[in-house]
Amino acid sequence: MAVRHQGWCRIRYSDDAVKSIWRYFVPYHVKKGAVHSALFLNTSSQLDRPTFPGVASDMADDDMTSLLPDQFQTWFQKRGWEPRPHQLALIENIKKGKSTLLVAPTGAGKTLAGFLPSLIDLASLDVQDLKKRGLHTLYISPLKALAVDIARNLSTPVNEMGLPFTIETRTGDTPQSKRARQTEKPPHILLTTPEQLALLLANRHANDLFENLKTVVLDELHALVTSKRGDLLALDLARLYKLSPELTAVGLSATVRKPDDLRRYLVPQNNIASMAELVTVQSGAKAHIQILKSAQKLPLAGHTALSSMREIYAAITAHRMSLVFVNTRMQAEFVFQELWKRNDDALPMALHHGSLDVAQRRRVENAMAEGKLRAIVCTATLDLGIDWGDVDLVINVGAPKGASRLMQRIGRSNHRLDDPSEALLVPANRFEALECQAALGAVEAAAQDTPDARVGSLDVLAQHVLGMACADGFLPDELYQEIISAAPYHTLTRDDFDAVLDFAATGGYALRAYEHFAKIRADDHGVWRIAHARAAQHYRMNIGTIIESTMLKVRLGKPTKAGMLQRGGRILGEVEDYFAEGLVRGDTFIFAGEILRFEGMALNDVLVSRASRVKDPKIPVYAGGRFPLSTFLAERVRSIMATPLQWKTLPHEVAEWLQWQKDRSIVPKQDELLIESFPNNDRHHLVLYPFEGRLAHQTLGVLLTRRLERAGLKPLGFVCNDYALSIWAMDDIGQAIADNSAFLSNLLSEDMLGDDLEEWLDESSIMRRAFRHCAIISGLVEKRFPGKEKTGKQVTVSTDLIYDVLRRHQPDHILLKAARADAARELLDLKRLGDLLKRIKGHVSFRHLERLSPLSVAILLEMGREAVYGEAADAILADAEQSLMAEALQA
Amino acid sequence: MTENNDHAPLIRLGGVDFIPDVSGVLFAPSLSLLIVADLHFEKGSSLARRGRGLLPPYDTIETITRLEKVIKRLNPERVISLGDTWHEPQALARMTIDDVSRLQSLQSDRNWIFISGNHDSHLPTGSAFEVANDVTFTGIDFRHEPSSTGLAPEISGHFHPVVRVKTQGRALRRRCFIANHQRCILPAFGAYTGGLNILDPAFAPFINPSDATIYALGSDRVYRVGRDRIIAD
Repeated sequence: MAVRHQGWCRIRYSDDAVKSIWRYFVPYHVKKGAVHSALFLNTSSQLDRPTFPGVASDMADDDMTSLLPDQFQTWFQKRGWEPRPHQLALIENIKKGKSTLLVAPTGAGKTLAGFLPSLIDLASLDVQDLKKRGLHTLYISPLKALAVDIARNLSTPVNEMGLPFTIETRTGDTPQSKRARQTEKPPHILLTTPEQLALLLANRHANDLFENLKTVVLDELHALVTSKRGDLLALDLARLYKLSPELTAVGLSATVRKPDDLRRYLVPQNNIASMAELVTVQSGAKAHIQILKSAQKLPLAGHTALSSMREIYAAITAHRMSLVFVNTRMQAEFVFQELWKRNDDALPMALHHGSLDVAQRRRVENAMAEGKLRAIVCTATLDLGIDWGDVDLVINVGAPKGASRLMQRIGRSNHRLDDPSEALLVPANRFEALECQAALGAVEAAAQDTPDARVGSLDVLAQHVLGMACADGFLPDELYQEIISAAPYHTLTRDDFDAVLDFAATGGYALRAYEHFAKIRADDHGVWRIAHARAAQHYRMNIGTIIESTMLKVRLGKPTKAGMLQRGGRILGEVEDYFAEGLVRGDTFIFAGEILRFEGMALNDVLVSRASRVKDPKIPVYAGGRFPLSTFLAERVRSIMATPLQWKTLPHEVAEWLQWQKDRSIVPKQDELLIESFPNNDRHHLVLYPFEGRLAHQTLGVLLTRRLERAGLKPLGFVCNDYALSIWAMDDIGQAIADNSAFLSNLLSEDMLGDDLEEWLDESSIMRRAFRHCAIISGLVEKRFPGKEKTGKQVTVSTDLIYDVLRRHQPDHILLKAARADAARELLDLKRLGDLLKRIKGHVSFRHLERLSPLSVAILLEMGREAVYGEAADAILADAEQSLMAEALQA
Repeated sequence: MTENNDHAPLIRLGGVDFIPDVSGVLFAPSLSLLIVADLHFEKGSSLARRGRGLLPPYDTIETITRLEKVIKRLNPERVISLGDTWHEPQALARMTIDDVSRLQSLQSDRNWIFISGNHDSHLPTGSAFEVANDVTFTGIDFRHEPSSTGLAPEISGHFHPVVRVKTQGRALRRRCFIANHQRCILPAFGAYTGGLNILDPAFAPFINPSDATIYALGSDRVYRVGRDRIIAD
């Protein structure tokens, strides 16, 4: 492995590649202003800008590279560009059949780098060969919009060079006739999604389609591998390698903590050392990141950032185009509304989040690309994907939650790799100010906190097994070998595989009742195939791993004179069903940037009217889009708190707050857990400060409450945020701890993750929720399609009923195992809680206080917050805060 | 008999007091009569046979186990099953020998009447269980589907009533009894039986939720639900 530095970039690759590439490397020159290196900008609207991501050069260079054929060199020169070193490195690797992971920040020309090797290879074929060639390159993107956009942009170099290739997309929107044609006469380059790939592989003719596939390009790989979609794609990749042994894979990824995980993901894991090559592009200029210092004091709690809204608006007016990222859809609605109120300059601003109607989101994206907007308030929906616009400022409102996520968001500004991105972090409360400071440090150190590699889910495996039976059938021994060659499934035991196979065939039940009704079965040669057409159809209808909560359309409509609800108005977007459940006629809420009045339900529509004169609307409360604080940032937050020297980097009121805490209680050391107890409002509080994120705190809160209940201390409830949790009780918990030194360590002993946890899981709805997802993905029950639900008696059996029966009669069933793994990981954060309990053993610092501490005020203010909304809530909070803090500071 | 009868809600029909039990059966202590609706034995295997998914084949054993528990607790002399006892005519043949004998031993020493429902109206002749069309007992009609023309007090099933209750911004969906002075419709008892919201128009010809009483099944008792808390699906 060699590493070279060349000013702004560092490239690593195998030694034999070094000579050939570096010989051709041309020093980097930029004509300032003439460059737009953002790859694949929405070219249709930016014709005046170069759209090719090479390096611009005013130097003529005849010795550009032997890796680039003449027509490519000419084309590059015509545009005034040179290929970037990592693009050449990829060409070299792929030519040699070496799968490669390209890690690069936004704006490095990643996507073109992924396609160049294929374009060059295809260009070397003569017309006759090209006609016979079939599918050469497959491109997989997590977003269908991205696939469509990239297809459009690829056509620029292809057309200008006069290359006779066919490039097509295939998404859920592709008409049936075109899909059928695509399998019969495939294009040279096909751009699609993981789900569509799974469908293609489950086709009888998959073998013919893919046997000559040369390259597969996986875009935004860092995002794909963190979910069940990544599991599905890994299994499909393993199948592609089997159908086409000559295949090379290209992974395109943002910077991640453990690139080796992705390198393994890209190649078959036939032995431990199997890893794809790695090409890394270091980010160019360091981002300019500032934490917003508001003229108003930061509140102790709340997430609205209302006190900073004036400054946010000022920042927007001072820039061309700003992206305002928030963490939840509720915040998006709120921030947008507040900015709009202050919009005296009538700046064009827009809102973009997952509940908005797709057409409306596309309109916003197009307006962005055309440079018609000055600000877009958005959630994670714009984390990924196309660089839609010429953004020159990223504003992150609220806590960043993770360093890597923040860096990816910041990369959305200034796509020129070599110009610094500009970003503004806006904490909404004092804990968030600590978190912003921690994130700033992390970005400066270029430290990453992307999650660990996943262990593949068994429900996804069950879906894949059905798919492979729909294809040409399989021999279990061979399929098992193929599956464990996929990195997420490398540790899958044969027993689990057999259990999944049994599940896919007859349900995997100890009571062998369904032998006659099997969905897949083995023929005389031991080849397993799909047993009947209905099972195949069921598989195709239920493909995929994304389970949305049932969404209801929000539609304008009013009651008619007859009192009937009139449908047919414009669709504004969608809300989760549980939100609509809570609405009563006449309730108002902010949605799609407007204040709406709930009129009633009509079939699957939430009918609303505009209620612009209403002042205090009830805002939608969405669970969606909340990310827990990363372990890594949490560590940094603890470290800042534990180091008073660092406090001066914080806003004054935050430093003061910590100083008060130090005077009246203690500020915990880095690896210490602080626990405080005090009476307040006829209640006794126990407050813990683990900084381990909301999910782990919630689990801890439930389990501690159960233990206190058993100890007879009458706990009444608990509340938590990403930093702390507070339990309140009728009895004096603090006294009980002070009286008995063993009480606290028993309370926090690791065995709470044993029986206590099991008991709770038995009673709670958490396992039911996890089971529902597994039941749908694995094909146990059919996915329900909106609008196709039977209005009468339900034909489908609810998964809750199935869960109850299965748990009682076959508790070791494979699907319960899958659901349990999901719940532990995604709903309970058990690993993190376990790590916490281990970490704090012997490091608990307990303070039995007479009254609440300054730190605890922030968490006590979370109590009852759920019930109050918007500005009114902030007023109440501000009031509550003043009186609480006054109390805390009493001498 | 349960001890706290004073607090248990009662449904009075045709001069008889019935207790809506938390298990989903209706019980008349004065007649020692237990009524159960929509057991839907072998619904799981029935769906499997039609290629509608391979649900855990334990629904029959689960339903029988629950029935055993409540019969042991209330020890009635008479039992009426209000139809759709079997999910389909062939369901009986698919029950395991063990399940059939457990059901039969539940029948011994008491009077059982199976009323036929739309799902099990054509049980194979000569089967171990006798099925009647409908029954009148102490002036009350017992039938599978409620009748819009009958004048006598009536107890029926068929609709699998559930109620959706709104509480503090959250909604719960629970099986329920729905009753007025004239009739009572029982919740479905079977392990895999879903439900139809009582606000569905299908109920309208027989019972109007706005002048009926709703008894929702909680985890340890039955709750009378206020009409203002009831919402549609």
